[in-house]
Amino acid sequence: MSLTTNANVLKWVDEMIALCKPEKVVWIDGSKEQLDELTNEVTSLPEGDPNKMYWLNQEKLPGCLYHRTAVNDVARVEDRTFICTRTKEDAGPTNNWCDPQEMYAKLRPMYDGVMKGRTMYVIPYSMGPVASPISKVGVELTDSIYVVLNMNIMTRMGKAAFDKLGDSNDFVRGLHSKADVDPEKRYIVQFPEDNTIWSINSAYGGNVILSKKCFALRIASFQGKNEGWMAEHMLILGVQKPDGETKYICAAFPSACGKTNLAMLIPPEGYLKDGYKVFTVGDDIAWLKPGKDGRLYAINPENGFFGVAPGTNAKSNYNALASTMKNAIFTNVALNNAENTVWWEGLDKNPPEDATEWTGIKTNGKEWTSQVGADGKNKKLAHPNSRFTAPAVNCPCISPEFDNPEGVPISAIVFGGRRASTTPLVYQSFDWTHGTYVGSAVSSETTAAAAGAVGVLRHDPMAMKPFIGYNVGDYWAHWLEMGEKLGDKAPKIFNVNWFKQDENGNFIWPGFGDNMRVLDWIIKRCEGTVEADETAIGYLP
Amino acid sequence: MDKLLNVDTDLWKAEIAEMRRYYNDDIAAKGGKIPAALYEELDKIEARLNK
Repeated sequence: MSLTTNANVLKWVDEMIALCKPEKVVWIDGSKEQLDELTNEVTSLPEGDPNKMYWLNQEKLPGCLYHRTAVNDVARVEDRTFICTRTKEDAGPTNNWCDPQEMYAKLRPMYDGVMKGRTMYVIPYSMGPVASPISKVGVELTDSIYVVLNMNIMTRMGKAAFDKLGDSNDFVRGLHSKADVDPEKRYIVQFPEDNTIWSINSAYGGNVILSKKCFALRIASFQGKNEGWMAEHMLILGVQKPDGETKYICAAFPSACGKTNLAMLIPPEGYLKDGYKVFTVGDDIAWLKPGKDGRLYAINPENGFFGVAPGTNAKSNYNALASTMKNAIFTNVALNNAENTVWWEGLDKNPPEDATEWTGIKTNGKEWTSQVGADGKNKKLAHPNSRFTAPAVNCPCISPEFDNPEGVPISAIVFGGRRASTTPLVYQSFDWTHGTYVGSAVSSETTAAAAGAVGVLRHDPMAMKPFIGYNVGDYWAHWLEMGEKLGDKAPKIFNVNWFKQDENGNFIWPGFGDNMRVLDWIIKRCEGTVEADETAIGYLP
Repeated sequence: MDKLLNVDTDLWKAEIAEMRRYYNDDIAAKGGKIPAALYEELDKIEARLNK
């Protein structure tokens, strides 16, 4: 049954089988037949089974599925996420740390027999195009079909990953069990020196789709430091200019600052008429490595978008919405029962009258959303952190270079946060070292993306605070080293702020499509074709 | 546009003070090994703001 003869993989999988004691083991080959079988199984579960997934209206949303997670399992949980480097110093001040042997000793009893009566799925996957020299292979073990189906969208999942791995030991080990979905026993643990991730008692999102934050940022940033590359919380977009050349930009923003919207930007009328186009390479994570010509090249290690649904509509992000129209999974959104389609706040102005709210309550959506809840705000039908998992291939503006094994050459790196004052719309750093400082100074307001308070200003260096897999000081030193390595071929570094407010608390900048004007200036600065004012903080338009 | 591109010297001096606090209290005091070059950047910005 196993899809590989790799002795390292087989040894590790056997150890995990002996620990978790599943009734059955299924190796995921990525085939349509197997995926259809699993989808049938999970959609046939009885009503009330917490693992159940639902087919949506197959005419309006072909191939689309819906799922609700437990009400106490709706977001990543940073206070239960650990980086277990061998020394506490190596984890540094931005991470929760525990001695790795202590953590293994604490977790092993929790995993012991946890999959009794369950099936363990063995998921091989590639982060990045299988052929790319920048790509890496992972294997996730899980007892959740929801995880398998999400991994199928978010990664290049299947046997081809094992073919690429060959006999190598260079694969990231991920062990996940839903266990009892007990929030008091929920742990998401990275062991960087062991290339290993253990996650237990969650069945949601970034806690269990181990390829995303756990591998592609926390483990990968540690690997990058040791191997001479970078894993960053960045979108990658390409701007094709009227002369046909495409310039690529990476941008790091904290959650809820519009990364997905910028990654899929539709240029305003004037720019479109002049012949500008914007292409999306990625909306969340970039892996960057110097290429043969000495420039910094980026790939999107993911294969889909795990986006926040509320607020997504045809006006705010036409391309994201279009990406969710087929073969997507929706988590914790609301249902329009009359049509068996999905709804969320901000999709349109018509909450369905015959609705199912995100915890499963059947209600008149119009009445529900006009009522005030215990928190003093209008009640919501969809959870604020509800998600769509959408295949990248669906995106109308997906870059033709999405699968290019070389990646795309980066002209500019852009940092940004959500600041009501102080920070101007855009400025350019004086050099890479100053730019690294600018990245270390990124700050923004918190969101529902990680459970916690909303509206508090927090420092989020490089938008990586929850994701740096090692000591943040060493991470900044690595940024400086990379700059030295790249020399005069390094991308230029900029900072933007879409969120400046006037005295009345209104946004001054319109944002959305108008952000193209700022991208335009940034590209022209990289090409040396536009002037700037030198100020104390950097170059301004 | 002026409001958007304005660099308010007082606000930025406060920003630099806050970054020093962040570096010293939130990072260095808690085991983050900040490269000297980043402290130098803070000094340079402060010098430029004071000109």
